[in-house]
Amino acid sequence: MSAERRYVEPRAPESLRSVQSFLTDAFRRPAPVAGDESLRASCAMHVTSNDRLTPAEQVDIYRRQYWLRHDDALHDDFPTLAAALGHDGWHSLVRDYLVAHPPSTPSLRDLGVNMPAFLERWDGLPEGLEALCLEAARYEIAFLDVFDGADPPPLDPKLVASLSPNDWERATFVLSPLVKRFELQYPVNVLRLVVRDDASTDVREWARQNAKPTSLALFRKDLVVHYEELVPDAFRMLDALAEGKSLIEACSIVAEGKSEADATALGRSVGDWFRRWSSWGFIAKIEL
Amino acid sequence: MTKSPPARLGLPDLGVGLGLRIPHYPHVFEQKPACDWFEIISENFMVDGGRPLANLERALADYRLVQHGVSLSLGSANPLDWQYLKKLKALVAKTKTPWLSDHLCWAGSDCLNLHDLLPLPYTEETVKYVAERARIVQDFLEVRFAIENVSSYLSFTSSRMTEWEFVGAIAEEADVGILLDVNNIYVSSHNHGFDPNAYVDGVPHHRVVQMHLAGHTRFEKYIIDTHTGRVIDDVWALYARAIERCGAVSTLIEWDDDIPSFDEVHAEAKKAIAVRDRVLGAGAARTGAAAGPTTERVA
Ligand SMILES: [Fe+2]
Repeated sequence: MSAERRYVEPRAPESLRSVQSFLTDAFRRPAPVAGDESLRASCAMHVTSNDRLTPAEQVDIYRRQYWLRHDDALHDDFPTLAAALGHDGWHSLVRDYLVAHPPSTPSLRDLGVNMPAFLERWDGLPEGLEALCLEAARYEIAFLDVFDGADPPPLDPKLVASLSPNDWERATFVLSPLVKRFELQYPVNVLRLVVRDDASTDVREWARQNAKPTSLALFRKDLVVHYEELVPDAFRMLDALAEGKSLIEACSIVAEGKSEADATALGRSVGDWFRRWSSWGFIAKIEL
Repeated sequence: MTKSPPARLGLPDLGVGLGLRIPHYPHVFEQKPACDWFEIISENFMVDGGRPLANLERALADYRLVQHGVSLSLGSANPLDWQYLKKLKALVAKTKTPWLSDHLCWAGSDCLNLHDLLPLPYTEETVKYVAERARIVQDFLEVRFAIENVSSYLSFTSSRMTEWEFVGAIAEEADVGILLDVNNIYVSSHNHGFDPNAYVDGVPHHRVVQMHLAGHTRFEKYIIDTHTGRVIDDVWALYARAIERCGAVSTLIEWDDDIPSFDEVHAEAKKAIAVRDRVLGAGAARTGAAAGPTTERVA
């Protein structure tokens, strides 16, 4: 029997439910409680005054903390996005985001999961930096997933050793969920390091100087999150493998349209890439 | 003749520990300093993999760990979060925590979680409701559960009893322990104008299985429990009173903001040991304090 069904949970008293509902709403207001007359009156129904603070002022202590706490948590998770938006832009994003996606799980870790999708329709992104902001948000949420995601079960070394060259060519691969792939207009992986050293970096200027198509794999090895910039062919190869293509199919996709010399060079690189990716744990499963 | 109930509900006195915090990891893992025990925030390790779990393994190899949670939301009108409880239970199996604590509070309603430790109205019906939930939590987790008194910045018109009566009634009715946060008593006594000594005197002492000590931040009109800075003298005095009433109880120094060096935080632990020794006599050795690579203080 599932745990939930083994216990009969008590019903919350109606008075408790209603006061908690009222306060949950009041604490999430962006503006001070005292500025809203009807809210002030409701506070006085539920909260006592003392010789220093009115009921609304007491409620407002919690309201301010709600915003500070979640602003800080989001800032920890999205330092690059925050730097790109600047002080005011960041705070208006936090306000709009938390109104749309109030925290609903026990872990602050989950707070930003909707950020990339939210930014797609948010109209406050700084002009000219829209793509950079979206890329930064996607990269930073992936960073969290890679940091503390579950390791896939290790590859069986006996199986790997037993594979013939022919097996390798027709095998398909499941990539580790701890490998995230990006095709970017800006190397936001580098920007993240830049703003970590100096949060006041002029991101617009940085973007002007550093915009370049960037293919990237983000992954975890020995508990540390790494990124690897990939040449376009390597990225396409990895993409094809992720789609379930065999090594030989992936090679022919990437080689398409190449000269014979280039295709031969590609053949040499593939071995290198594949060895490196395997040693970094990119391959979670080999299917024959 | 009725037998008096065992102190600490029969749980060990681990001595004086510290919160295990990231800035101290290099020192703790490499130097392995003497420390009676560490408290971990359960939620920091309720993840699927990666460095947090590796750090947990390292800490477990050398120290006694006790789990303390911040997100259970025991007093919420929301139903219990079984997904959370199952993850918590899995962590208990890993840490072998001798007890597990969380706050006597609520964190949100209508399926939201505001990640705060919000106070409850002190009423009979709340006692009944929360005690029933605490009983379920303790039964499901299969480890002694303890409720911690929170710092609060508002009080309810509907309250009909003191906070210490409320805490005591829930602990008794649910048959759970109390994590007595002495600094929280001080902070709330200032914010709400009650006598902190009456609080310490009024809780069921044999149910106190752990104590917390911390610094706080004083603003013009109220005090906030920021867990920063040293424990102030008034809180040390209150702690001495609590130890006098409850006996030797595992004590934990919380320092979570502007965290200084390990040694500086540990100096607060040493002060707590000195207070315990002064109140109880130096012979009151920490029964469970053998954890840690070495014990620095030999009584
Ligand atoms: Fe505490």
